[in-house]
Amino acid sequence: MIRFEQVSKVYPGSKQALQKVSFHLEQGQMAFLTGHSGAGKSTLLKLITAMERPSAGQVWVAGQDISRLPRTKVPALRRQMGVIFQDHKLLMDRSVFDNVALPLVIEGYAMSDIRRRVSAALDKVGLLEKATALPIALSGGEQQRVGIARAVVNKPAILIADEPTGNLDPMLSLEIFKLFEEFNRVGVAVLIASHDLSLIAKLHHQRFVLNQGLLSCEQGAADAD
Amino acid sequence: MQTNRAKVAWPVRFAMYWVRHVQQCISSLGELWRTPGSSLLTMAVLGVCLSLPASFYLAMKNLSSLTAYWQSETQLTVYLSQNIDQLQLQAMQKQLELRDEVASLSHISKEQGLAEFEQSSGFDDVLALLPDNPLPDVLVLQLNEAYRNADAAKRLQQELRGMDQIERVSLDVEWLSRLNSLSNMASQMASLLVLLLLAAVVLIVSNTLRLGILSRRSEIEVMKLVGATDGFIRRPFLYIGFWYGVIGGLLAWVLCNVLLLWSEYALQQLGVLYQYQVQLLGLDINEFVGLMVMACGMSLLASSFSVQRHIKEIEPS
Repeated sequence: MIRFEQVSKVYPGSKQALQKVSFHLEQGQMAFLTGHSGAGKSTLLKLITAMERPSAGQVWVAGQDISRLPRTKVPALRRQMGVIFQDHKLLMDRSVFDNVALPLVIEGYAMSDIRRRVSAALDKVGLLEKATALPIALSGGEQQRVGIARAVVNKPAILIADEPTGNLDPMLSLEIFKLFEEFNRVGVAVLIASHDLSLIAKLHHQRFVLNQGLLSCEQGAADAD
Repeated sequence: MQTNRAKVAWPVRFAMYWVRHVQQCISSLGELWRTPGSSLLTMAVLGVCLSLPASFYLAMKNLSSLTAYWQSETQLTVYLSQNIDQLQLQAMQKQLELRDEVASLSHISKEQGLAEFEQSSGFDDVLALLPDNPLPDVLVLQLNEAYRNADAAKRLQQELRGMDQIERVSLDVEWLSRLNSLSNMASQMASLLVLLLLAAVVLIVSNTLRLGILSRRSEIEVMKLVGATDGFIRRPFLYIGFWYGVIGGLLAWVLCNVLLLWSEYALQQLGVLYQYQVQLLGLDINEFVGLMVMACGMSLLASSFSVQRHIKEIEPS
């Protein structure tokens, strides 16, 4: 589903962020991406969502080489995946419902479809009764769950999360990870960047560790490609 | 891999595309309503900027209708020599009537002229003392439409002057030609000003939209992150530009009419003195549509430039 081949990324005027990184996240697989701050986690995720382009190597997403994807094809790529951000990236002046509906609106779903799917997604994250609230009125955990609902409302085959539990207490964090496992169980490939090692240790999934731009695989090596 | 194209059938996609258009059209109007301060100011500036070219246009239109009216009265008065006889007179009449320039010709005979003069001047006693009629035969030439301008009339005047049996040819177009060249100059200055004002419209709209885009930077980033195309993000801003044009155009029209009424009133005061009924021409329906099309067109053009550039610049990071 996501395949890196000898991918390097150099930001102008700084050291190498990624060095010849190769890995393969298969369809329906769930994996964690760990490493200390500045190890290149965010860079790696940005390469998957085409927010950055690799300096060398190839990035394959859903069978498509996106390392030199033209600008105009980027929106279509992003619609194939759900992305969850540490800072949620919600539209603060729109209701929870409108936030979750955004990907569907962009893709041109009919109104009745949108209502049905948004309700289903909000129900899944347990926020159905908050549909008309503004994100500002929600707690941090609730806002993160709105972000998750928005990421899955489109039923993407890939789910990417960047520090989804960064600001949450351990209880809430575990809850959110359990939610990701649920999505994984229905066949969604999930890649979660996190530095919450104690939590990751509780869940038995493939782990990619980034250190100084170098990637190594740990635990569950049998699942690895 | 399931592609996105397959997720929504194209008829639904197509229908929803237009539904979104209408929604965005209306919601961008709501957006203007929510930020009345800046949008009202922008629309007011647009209105003023557009009202000036429109007023220039009206001024030129009224002036040219006035000169056309005066020019329509362009006529040559030909005074024949005293010693012309009836046959020569008829020949002359024929000859002039056959000319291209001449639309119609009327003859005021010596006797008619005298009678009119007696009536209007009240000098009948004095005139009775004269041994014979001192007045010449007069031919009044109405010019053809194509020759009703100062240059052509003058050329004809020169030509007739050279003819035998013609004493004098009078034509009062000197001031008309001056007025013409003055109004030509004025219209050239006005078109320069109009260009500058239209440039101002473009700059104002694009700058307002630039600020609007920058203030919604984070929103645009989020939309891009969830897969919105540039076109999708651009649309609300283009509609805002469109509404700027519509409302600015309407405002310009109102201002123009206020200006028109005002100057009509002022001219009426003047007209009373000259016993002249002043009736200024306003914008007719075609010109109103033209104004609106221009306002919307300029505004849309400006916004599409600005929006295209600035939305491309914003990339999530």
